[in-house]
Amino acid sequence: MNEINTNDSAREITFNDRIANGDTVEPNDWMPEKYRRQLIRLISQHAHSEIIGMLPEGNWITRAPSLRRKVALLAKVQDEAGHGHYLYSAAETLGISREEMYDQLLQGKAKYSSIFNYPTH
Amino acid sequence: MMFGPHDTDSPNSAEMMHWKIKLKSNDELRRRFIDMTVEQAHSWGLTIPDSQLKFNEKTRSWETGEIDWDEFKRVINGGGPCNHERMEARRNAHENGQWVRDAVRTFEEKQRIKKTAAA
Repeated sequence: MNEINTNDSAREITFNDRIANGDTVEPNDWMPEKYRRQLIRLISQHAHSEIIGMLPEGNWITRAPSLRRKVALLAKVQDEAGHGHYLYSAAETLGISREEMYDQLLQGKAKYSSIFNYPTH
Repeated sequence: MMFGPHDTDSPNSAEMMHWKIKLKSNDELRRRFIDMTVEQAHSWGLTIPDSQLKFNEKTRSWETGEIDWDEFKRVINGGGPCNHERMEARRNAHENGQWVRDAVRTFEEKQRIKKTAAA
């Protein structure tokens, strides 16, 4: 147990040096558990915001004045879904499943950008 | 409110900035956003609904009225005008999409069996 702790604190010192030097961290690199948790929280929160953000934008599709503009807005809303999927994939590389993140959202445990809780119409 | 609570009230900021996950504080990001947006809105002839909004010549930055942090807390904790509607829409989409996820899984499983049989 002590050996593990010593190893971890030695690793953490090396890790902090890398951060201080401006190195980038890859998902398979060693990282402190808290760092991994913060990244998952941040990235999944961003992903949820993209997905929830589709709703207020989507409200405007029926009101876009022409077919051309409806198509443009549809594409824009679909873009948000794409951003969400990229972000969920990025978070998955850090060791959490998409189902788990989505459950956290549906159970109200995960947050998303609070501005989407206001109406746009 | 887009940029989260005041720096003094932001539970994760210190840790995130220490690790350079976050490079600018909530208040700093908010200030930059307001400076950019006010100019843009004015150039389009729009008025920002904040009677206390004024330009500070010294800091070359826009100052706003106090943010209603009680409202902010209420909205992030589920009490905003659309929280319920948004979550309900996601829940419905998730439940109605279950058959698609089931179909994908069944297809993958069939492909796997086919591959194993062929090998």
